[in-house]
Amino acid sequence: MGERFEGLRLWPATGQPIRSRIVLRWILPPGTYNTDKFVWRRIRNNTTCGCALIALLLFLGAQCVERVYLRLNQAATADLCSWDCNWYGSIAKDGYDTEPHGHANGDAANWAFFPLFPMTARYVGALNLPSMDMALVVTSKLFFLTAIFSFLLFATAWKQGLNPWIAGLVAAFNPYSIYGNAGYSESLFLTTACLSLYFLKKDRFVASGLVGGLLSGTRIIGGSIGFSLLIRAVGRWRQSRNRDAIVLGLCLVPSGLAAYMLFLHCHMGDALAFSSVQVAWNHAFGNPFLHLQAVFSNTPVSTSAGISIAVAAAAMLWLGKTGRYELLAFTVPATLLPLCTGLGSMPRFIWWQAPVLFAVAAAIGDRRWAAWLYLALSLCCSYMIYAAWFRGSGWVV
Amino acid sequence: MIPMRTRVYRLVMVFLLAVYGLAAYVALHPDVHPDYRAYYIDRSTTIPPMARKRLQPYGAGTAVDHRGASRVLFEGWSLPEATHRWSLGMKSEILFYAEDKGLFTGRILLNCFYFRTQRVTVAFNGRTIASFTGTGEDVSRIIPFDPALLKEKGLNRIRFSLPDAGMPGTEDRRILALALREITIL
Repeated sequence: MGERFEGLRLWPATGQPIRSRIVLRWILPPGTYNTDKFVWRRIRNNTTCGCALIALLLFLGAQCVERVYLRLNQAATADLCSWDCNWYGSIAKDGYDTEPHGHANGDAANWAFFPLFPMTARYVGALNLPSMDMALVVTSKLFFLTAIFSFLLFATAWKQGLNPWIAGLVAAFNPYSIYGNAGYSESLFLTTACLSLYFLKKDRFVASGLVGGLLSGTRIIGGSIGFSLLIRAVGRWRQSRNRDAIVLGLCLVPSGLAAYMLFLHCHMGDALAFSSVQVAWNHAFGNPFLHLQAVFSNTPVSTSAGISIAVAAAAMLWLGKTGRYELLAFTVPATLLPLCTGLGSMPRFIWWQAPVLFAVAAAIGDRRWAAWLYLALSLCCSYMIYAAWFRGSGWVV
Repeated sequence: MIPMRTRVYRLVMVFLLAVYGLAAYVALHPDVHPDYRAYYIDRSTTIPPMARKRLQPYGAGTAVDHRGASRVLFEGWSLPEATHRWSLGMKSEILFYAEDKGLFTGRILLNCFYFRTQRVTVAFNGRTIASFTGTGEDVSRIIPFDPALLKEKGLNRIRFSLPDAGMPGTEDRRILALALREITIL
C-alpha cells in the first residue's frame, strides 16, 4: 500500500525539507491516505503548487464559515455589498462622477475610490452575474483566494521555515475577513502587496515595481510600497549589475496613482479629487498621535481600532527587531496615513496589511495552541463583525 | 554598446518621469469651478457647491429652524443637533438669497442660547448692525437692520463675530459660543 501520508512537504530550498503536518494531522485520520496515489505526492515538493492547494483549501474553509454567518444573519451573498461596495458599484456601472451628489450635503462623490478594483468587477460583471452587487462580491472573493495564495508565497519567502498552513490560516481566517467577501478592494490590495513584496525579496525589482504600480492604483496607501523598494534598492545598489532595473522598479510604483490622477484631471478637473473629496466623510488631515488619544473613549470604533493599532505596533517592533526594514517601511506609512484622518476604518487598514499578517503568522509559529487561540478569537470577532455589518452599524465600515 | 534591455528600461523611465511631471503639474493646477475650489481645495467655506445650487430664495418672515432646510446656508456652524446648532469658532455666518426685497422691513428674530457669556457682534452684508453680550437659555432677540442692505440678486450674509467662543471640555473639542434654535428675517 505504500508509505503512510505524513504531511505536505514544501520547498526544500535550503537544508531539510519542511514538513507541514500540523493542520493535516488535525484533520486527516491516520492511515487514511496512500501517498502513492494521493495528489499530494505530486505537488508536495513544488512551492507554488503547494501554496495554491493550501490557499484553495483554506479559502473554501473560510467560505464555509461565511455561509454559516450569512445563515445566522438570514442574509444572502449579495447583501454583503453595502457601504463602500455601493460606491465601487457606482464606478463599475456608470464610471466616475463628474460632480458630487452623495450624502445629505451633496458633497460626496466616488472619486475617493481607486479604479483597479471596480474596473475588474466590471469585467467580472460581464459574466452574466445577476447584479453588479454580486459581481463586486464575487470579485472580492476571487481576490481573497489570490490574496491567500500570494500571502503564502510572500510569507514563506520572507521567513524560511514558516509553516504555510499557519500563514494561510492567518490570512484566510483574518478577524476582519468580511472585507475580503463584501465587495471591498482589501483582498486586491493584499494580493498586490504580497506579490510586490515577494518579488522584492527575490530582487526582481521590475516585477515588484510593476505590481507596485497596480497597488498604487488600488488604494492611495499602496504607494507606500515605494519605500520598501527604496530600502531594498539602497541595500542592493553596490552589488547590483543591473541598476537600471532597480531604478525602473522604483519608477514604476507610482504609475497607477499617476494614471488615476491624469484621468481625474481630464474627467472633472481636479487630479487630487480622491483627496479633496475626503471632506465629505469629515476626514481632515491631523496629527495621528492626537487621534490615538481617542482609543480610550470606550466606543466600538475606538476599541476595535485600539486593539488593531496595538497589533500593528507590535508587528512594527518585531519587523524592526528582525531587520525586515523593507516590510517596516511599507507598514509604517500604511498605518500612519489613515490614522492621520482618525480612528474610523483603522482595523481594515491594519488587518489587510501583508507585513502585519506576516508578523502574526510568525508569532504563532508552530505552536498549535496559539493557532487554535487565533482561530477561536478570529471566528468570534468575525461573527460579531458580520452581525454588526447586517445590522448596519457604522463602526464596521 | 548599451544592451537593448537597458535601452528599453531607460526609455520607459524617461516616459514615466514625463508622465509623473505632467501629473504633478495638473495636480497643482486644478481646472475647477470657484465653488468647488473654495469647498474642496482651499477649504475656505463649509458650504458644498451642490448646496449652493440647491438653495432656494428666502421669503420675508419665513421662520427657519436650526436645520436650515433649503432656504438658508450655515457657514461655520456645527452639524445640527436635536434642537439646535452650535456656532463653530469665532465667526459664523448665515447665507440666503432674498425673494422680493421690498417685503423685508428690516428685523432679525433670533432664538438661541449661549455657551457661558458671549460678546456677540452681528453684521449684515459687512455692515455692523448689533453688538451685545449674550448669556443664558432660550434667548429671543430682535435685531433691526436697514432693508437697503439687502441684495436682490447676490447672496446675503449675516455674520456673527464671537470672540469669547471656547471649548466645553476634553470630550468635546469644538469651539462653541452660540446655539441657534430658529431665525426669522423680516
